Amino acid sequence: MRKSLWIVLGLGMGLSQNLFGLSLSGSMGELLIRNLQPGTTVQLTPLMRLPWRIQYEGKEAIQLILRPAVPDGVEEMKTGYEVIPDLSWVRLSPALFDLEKSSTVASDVSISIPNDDSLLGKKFVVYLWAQTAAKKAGVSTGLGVKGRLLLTIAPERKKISDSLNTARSYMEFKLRPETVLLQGIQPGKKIALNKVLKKKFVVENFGSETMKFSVNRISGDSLGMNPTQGMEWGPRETVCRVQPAALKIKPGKKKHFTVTIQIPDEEQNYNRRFQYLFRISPSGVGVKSGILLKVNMETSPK
Amino acid sequence: MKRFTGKFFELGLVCTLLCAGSVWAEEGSNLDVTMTVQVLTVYRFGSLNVNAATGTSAVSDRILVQNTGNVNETFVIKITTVTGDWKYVETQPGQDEFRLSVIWHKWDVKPSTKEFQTNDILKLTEVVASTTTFFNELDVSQHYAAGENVNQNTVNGVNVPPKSVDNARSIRYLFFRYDAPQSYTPGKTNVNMSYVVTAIASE
Repeated sequence: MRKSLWIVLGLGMGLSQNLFGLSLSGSMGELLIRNLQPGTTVQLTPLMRLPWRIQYEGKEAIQLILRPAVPDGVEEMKTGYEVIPDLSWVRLSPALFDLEKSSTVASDVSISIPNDDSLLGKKFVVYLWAQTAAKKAGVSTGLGVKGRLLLTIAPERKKISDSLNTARSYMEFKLRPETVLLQGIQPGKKIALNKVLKKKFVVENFGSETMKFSVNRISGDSLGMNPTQGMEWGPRETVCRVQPAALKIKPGKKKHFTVTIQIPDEEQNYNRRFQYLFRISPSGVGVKSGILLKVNMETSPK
Repeated sequence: MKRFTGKFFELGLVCTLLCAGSVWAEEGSNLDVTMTVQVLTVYRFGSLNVNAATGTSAVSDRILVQNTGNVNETFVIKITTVTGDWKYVETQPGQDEFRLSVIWHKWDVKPSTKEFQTNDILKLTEVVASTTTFFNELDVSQHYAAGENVNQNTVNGVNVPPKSVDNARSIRYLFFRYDAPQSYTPGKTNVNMSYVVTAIASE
């Protein structure tokens, strides 16, 4: 009679993995690119110093594989956007890294839109997927991050023969925090967000140039966005104040700004969940760019 | 005099608006790039090690996965490679075949093999965590942290808050059910397998 064989899954590398954790981080969690023109290619690094940065932390040697990917299932779709028709529209260079230890790498993201007028006005979603792959045999637990690109083709043709060549912007900065939630807010009352949150909104210039930034409220509808699930856009009549609204930041330095919001004291504004957007934008030529600050406010019942 | 006064009023109004920073951002037709989510980060501790006799199943120890980023994340799981002597199947394993299922679960209770359902089978295509996939929605008694409402999804892989907002709830735990081969070919038990836990922005 054959004895049962106890099968062990996960020998070798599995034992060594028990001792250490692994971490993977990717910039471009979600990037909204609007007014793309058919027949053009946009390279984010030379255009606005915006490579896709991946940071790996761990003691294992790994391969880091980068590739564009179509949404997998309805959960990865975005309302109003179609699946990108062809993954070759998006190129990553480089797309493969051999890492012996904790490292931060950068890859240029290039988006080429076919010269086809039937694309005008359309919106597409595609993912940038970075995943680790073990170099050793056995069973391995990899990590991945999937950044989401939302591509909007311009509604009409525009002569851009020279504009993209001279266009420049600057995205070597970060914003902290990028999303905040305030609860129990009373309409009619002027709310100093930073006092309530006990934290400042900080812009850090990690690039090599001194840069001017502006901070403005922006309409989600103008970006073709929907509010976060469960939220609705705050009333347009809401009074928002940013202080200061213009920042000049030297390389390696940080500056902060504060926001005050006063929701109109009207009955329909009680017991609601509002979202407000602010964009921190660097000076640029021929192209606009920025990072969004999302302010979520839950108003109290009347 | 009236016209002069009017001009000063307009100038004053523009200055006030600019200084206070309440103007709306301009719209236009130029290329426009906006980062709506900056960074996604995922951390894991632990590995898959599990034993089972041929024709039986067993549950692994837990693997910790944490959202160490700045926004809510949802985790997706996929097998990426399987090489070696065995074949990976999504049906009941036969000779030289094996299967894995996975669920997010409360950390201090190892689930039984019965808690794993059909939609928890790990696939060769990517599967996004949901309130039912990779989660035993029928056994809610084990799926919330002490002191919380049973309907609070604090253990599945969906819409996980970041560590900076809620450290305790940013941590989730994976348990695997391993279905061993029904039988094996003597001398052929070498398996190399990798799977990936990927974070995407929940919004």
